Amino acid sequence: MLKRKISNWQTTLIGLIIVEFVIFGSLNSRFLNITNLMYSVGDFLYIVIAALSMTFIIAAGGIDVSVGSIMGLVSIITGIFWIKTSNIILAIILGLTSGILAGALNGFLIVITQVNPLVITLGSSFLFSGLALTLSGFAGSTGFEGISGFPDSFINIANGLIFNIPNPLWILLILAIIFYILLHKTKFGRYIFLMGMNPNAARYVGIGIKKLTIYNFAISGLGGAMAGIFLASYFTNARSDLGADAPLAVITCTVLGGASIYGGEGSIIGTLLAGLLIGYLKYGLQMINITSIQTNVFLGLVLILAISGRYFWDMLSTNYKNKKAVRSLRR
Amino acid sequence: MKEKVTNIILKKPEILVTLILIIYFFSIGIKNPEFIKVDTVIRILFNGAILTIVTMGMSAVIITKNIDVSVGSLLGLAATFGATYLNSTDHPSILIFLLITLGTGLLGGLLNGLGVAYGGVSSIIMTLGTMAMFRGILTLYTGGSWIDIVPEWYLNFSRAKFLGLYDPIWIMIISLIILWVFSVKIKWGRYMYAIGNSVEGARFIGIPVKRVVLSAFAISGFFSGVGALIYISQIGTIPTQAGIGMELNAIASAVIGGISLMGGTGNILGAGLGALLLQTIKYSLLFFKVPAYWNNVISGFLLLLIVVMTSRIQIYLRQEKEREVEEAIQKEYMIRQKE
Repeated sequence: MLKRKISNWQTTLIGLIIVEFVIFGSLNSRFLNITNLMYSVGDFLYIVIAALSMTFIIAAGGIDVSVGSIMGLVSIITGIFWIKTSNIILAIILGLTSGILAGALNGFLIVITQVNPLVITLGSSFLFSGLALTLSGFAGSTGFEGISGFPDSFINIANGLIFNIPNPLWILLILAIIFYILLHKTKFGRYIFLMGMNPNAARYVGIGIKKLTIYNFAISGLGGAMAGIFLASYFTNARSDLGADAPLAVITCTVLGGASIYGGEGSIIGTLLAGLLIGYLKYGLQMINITSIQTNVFLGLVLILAISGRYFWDMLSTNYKNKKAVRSLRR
Repeated sequence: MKEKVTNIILKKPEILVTLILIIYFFSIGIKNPEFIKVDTVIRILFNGAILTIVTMGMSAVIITKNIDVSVGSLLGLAATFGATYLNSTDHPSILIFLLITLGTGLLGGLLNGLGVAYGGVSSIIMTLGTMAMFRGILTLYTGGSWIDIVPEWYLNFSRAKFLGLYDPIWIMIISLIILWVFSVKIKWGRYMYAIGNSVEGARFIGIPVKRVVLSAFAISGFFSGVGALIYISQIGTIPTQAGIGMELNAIASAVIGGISLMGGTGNILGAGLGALLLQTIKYSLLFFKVPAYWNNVISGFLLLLIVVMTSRIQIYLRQEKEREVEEAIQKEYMIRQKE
């Protein structure tokens, strides 16, 4: 029953994407150019990466608004280690590790204080963005200036091609598969859903909720870290304010993808579809000369309409089913 | 005696934040005695007026177990509309100005409330959406340029003193009194607490849940408008990013002040004190001339520290109390068995 409802929602998302393509395609014929469509994935990949890992958090009933600050922090840390060690692989590994640690710190603080995750990640988002700014100051670039001079191999991560297909698409595909397996096919994923549905039940069946929360936020940190490194590679320099605007779009993606903010529901495929929907919405609006600020108005509107639309749709369909049941009983 | 102290702190979280505020204030004073002056207190109150008002308004929403992250954007929007009106004519009428600024806030809050109470959208999603929308409308309206002219007479409003205190401080005090009376003495205000405790329970005893939630959001929006009134006068320029980050500060202040995000607890006074604590931290950083880029690190760190500390203290006190209750029950049980 639950599964059918969610998959219904995914069909709706696919329908919306098709509608979007038809509308933008008729407004501007360049929109449906397959090369453009493939390359534009790079513009919004960072949002989708973070949204994929955010699905874990929201499915478990939490929220993480520090993911944008983690992006900036990780890009700066990667840049600093690249300058200091001239070893880009080591720098990337250290960057990812720091992202995981930042996420785990969130999880740890939530576990020991039992305060709502929103408050903790709010506080830590100040901390991380401040640290990023301070560290970039230490690295010699004052204030909001970035760290540049990355090697070609690093810049190729986001700008290269494999088999004539841009790397961002490959990254998207691989990460979606990994996260899909982790959330939907493993015990860990089942536990996360259980924790989101009913934390007390999860505790009674012997799931280590505290440990799970820390792991979960570490995954979100890893998602932020990957997004941050991708951004640094895509823009060819690391800045402390990279990804500062991400949290709204990331949460929008996840919730639009079918995750319930109250926990217990969420789907990687839904998040992926919602990410594509929002990403191409941004891209399409750009194509018909609408600025990114106006896009934000659209984004907010889409989010609210989609969620309330879903609510009313659910209400109507339950009403309809109830009536049908009553009718069949009378007969 | 000890039992009493723990009870009081558990019941009245604003006492804890007052203690922290005093300790922080005087420990800065030990480092630099120059800090402890009436002037410092007045400056903190003056600079913290906007945040305090916005925090107290938003507390109404948090008490009903919802959240409003659109207050910063709404403040910016209300300030933009208000200031634009002030500049549009030579003799602006104060009444229309108030109507525009406060009305923008109220309408924005009502929009949030409608979506949450009647549209079935969870509050964080709804207000995240309207946060982006308000900011977008603001930028579209101004075309991305700043409003940097505000009539002299209105700038003077925040610098004028009444009975020795600046006008913004008076507005803050009046807002505090209104909200305090509303949330403590008036039935409608008590309904907010009931809903925060248990929505189902509130519905069963006949509280109009939807309308109360709607009014809580309207209050939050309205006080964003009040914040905008002061913003125009105090800051004097309205950039397109006016109010960004205000919502984060306000939520943090409310939580520090003992308003639980789980709803139903805390009071307005505590929220206001939480905002003042945050402002004191900011002011002390300014006082010690800490480089600006350290600001976020230190305030983020202190914020987390305070949240961790207060929540640990409360968890500890709650456990103590539970143990005491258990011991009392056991004693009673033993006595009865003997009989």
